[in-house]
Amino acid sequence: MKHIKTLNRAVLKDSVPHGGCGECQTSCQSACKTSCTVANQKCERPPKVSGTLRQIKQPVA
Amino acid sequence: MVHSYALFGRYIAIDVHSGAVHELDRAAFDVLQKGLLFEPLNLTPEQAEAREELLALKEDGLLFTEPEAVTVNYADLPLKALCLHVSHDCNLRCAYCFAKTGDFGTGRRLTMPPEVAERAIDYLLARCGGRRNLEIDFFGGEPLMALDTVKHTVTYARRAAPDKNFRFTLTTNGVLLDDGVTEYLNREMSNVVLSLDGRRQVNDAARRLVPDGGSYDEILPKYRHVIATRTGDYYVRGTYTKRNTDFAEDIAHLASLGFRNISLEPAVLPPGHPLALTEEDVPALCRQYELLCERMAEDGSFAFFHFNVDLAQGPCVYKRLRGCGAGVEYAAVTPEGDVYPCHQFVGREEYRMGSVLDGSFDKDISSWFSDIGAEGREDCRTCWARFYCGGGCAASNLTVNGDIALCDRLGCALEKKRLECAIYLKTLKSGIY
Ligand code: SF4
Ligand code: SF4
Ligand code: SF4
Repeated sequence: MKHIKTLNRAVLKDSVPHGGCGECQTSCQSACKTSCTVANQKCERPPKVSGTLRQIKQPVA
Repeated sequence: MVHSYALFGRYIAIDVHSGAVHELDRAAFDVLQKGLLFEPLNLTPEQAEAREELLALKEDGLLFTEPEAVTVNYADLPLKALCLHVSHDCNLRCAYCFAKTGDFGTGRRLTMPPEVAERAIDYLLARCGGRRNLEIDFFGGEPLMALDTVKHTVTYARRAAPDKNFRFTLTTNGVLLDDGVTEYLNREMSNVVLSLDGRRQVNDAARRLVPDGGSYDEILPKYRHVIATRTGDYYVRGTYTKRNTDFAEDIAHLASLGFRNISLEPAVLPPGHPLALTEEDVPALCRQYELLCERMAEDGSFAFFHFNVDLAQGPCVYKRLRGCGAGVEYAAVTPEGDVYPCHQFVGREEYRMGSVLDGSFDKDISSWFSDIGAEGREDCRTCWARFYCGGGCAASNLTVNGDIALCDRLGCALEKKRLECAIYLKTLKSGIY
């Protein structure tokens, strides 16, 4: 594509069948203790089974 | 839903439901912003070409994706994280303290006895189901005023459940750090959070020693020693208020001191408090995040907590919808063993959920929280940022609006700006320009 570069694919959709194990850190425990951001938390499922990792296709060239 | 925005001459589009992120050129951005994708009137040749590409993305499930039907059984989640208020006393007097100088407004300055800490661990183990990673944050007041309880808890928890992976963290104001304490924390804590607000005059205006005096010079050398001797994670964490609406300078100052992981948060204070931020401050505060973002584009030597968004390998959709977990997966325990939805609810009697001493846990109060994840709050349901934000902070909502489900608009405006900056920083390596 000439006008668009895709930085990442449908990671949320792809995580639906595999996510939800609950093993990752609770957001307020990690640093801020006052406000919420979840997207900066690390997923802790090993790459082999993690939906957020395994189904990412190559970005559009 | 698609959120598109321009920042520092770059054009970015976020497809909210799929999680796809695209960098656009000006023609593609104009097609999106002006609604030309669905009503292609008077397109330039460039725009017509860009429109074809946008339509192909839509076809591919990467733009204007429909919401996925996701069932989040939030109410049934086990408890997995506790904030232990090992000390309801403090050796600083900070101007914005939500713990009201340590005792959470109770008038009682208490230390958690080791037996109560043991019951808290038992309580967590009884409620954690199959979760392997369990989190204990030592908090206060100032937790180092109860270091014996901290040490006792760590030893007890590891013995009680060797098959669990306990992660201990501790949030301190630094006053009681010495070589021995530092060595202990570096050995046992997977993360330490070190409180400091930034420039000396800013820090010392708010974070006062007892009986009086600024704390900056007293604690800075101690923090430097912690990070010089530490291999585990740490954050230097501060608060900004109405007094330092130029807080990007404070983050720059912390970075110049050699700190690599920095978090600076807006103070959450009741309306009318002299240090409370107000909606009129929003443009100036957003500008500060932009200044920080510009600085970080040039200087990769430090990380800012809210900009650490990992686009490709971040959390799954369930985690994003559950948000902070307060009152469900996460709870706070007072020195007397009382259980509250999180550290910021402690002392609000109507939110007392139970006690680790008798094992009680009020499911009704828990359901107030499980009902309001990012899908449960009206503002969040229509917000582009909800999969990044997770639905905001129930405690700020209560402080500012008197209702855990009514979003703190100021907090939301800042969160959205932080996310735009964080995603912008990710585009810098993408090479479309
Ligand atoms: S560890 Fe990963 S898959 Fe499991 S709940 Fe957290 S983000 Fe989702
Ligand atoms: S920014 Fe505000 S409205 Fe948007 S998801 Fe977060 S809390 Fe909800
Ligand atoms: S309600 Fe607010 S302070 Fe409490 S855990 Fe959630 S984000 Fe943190």
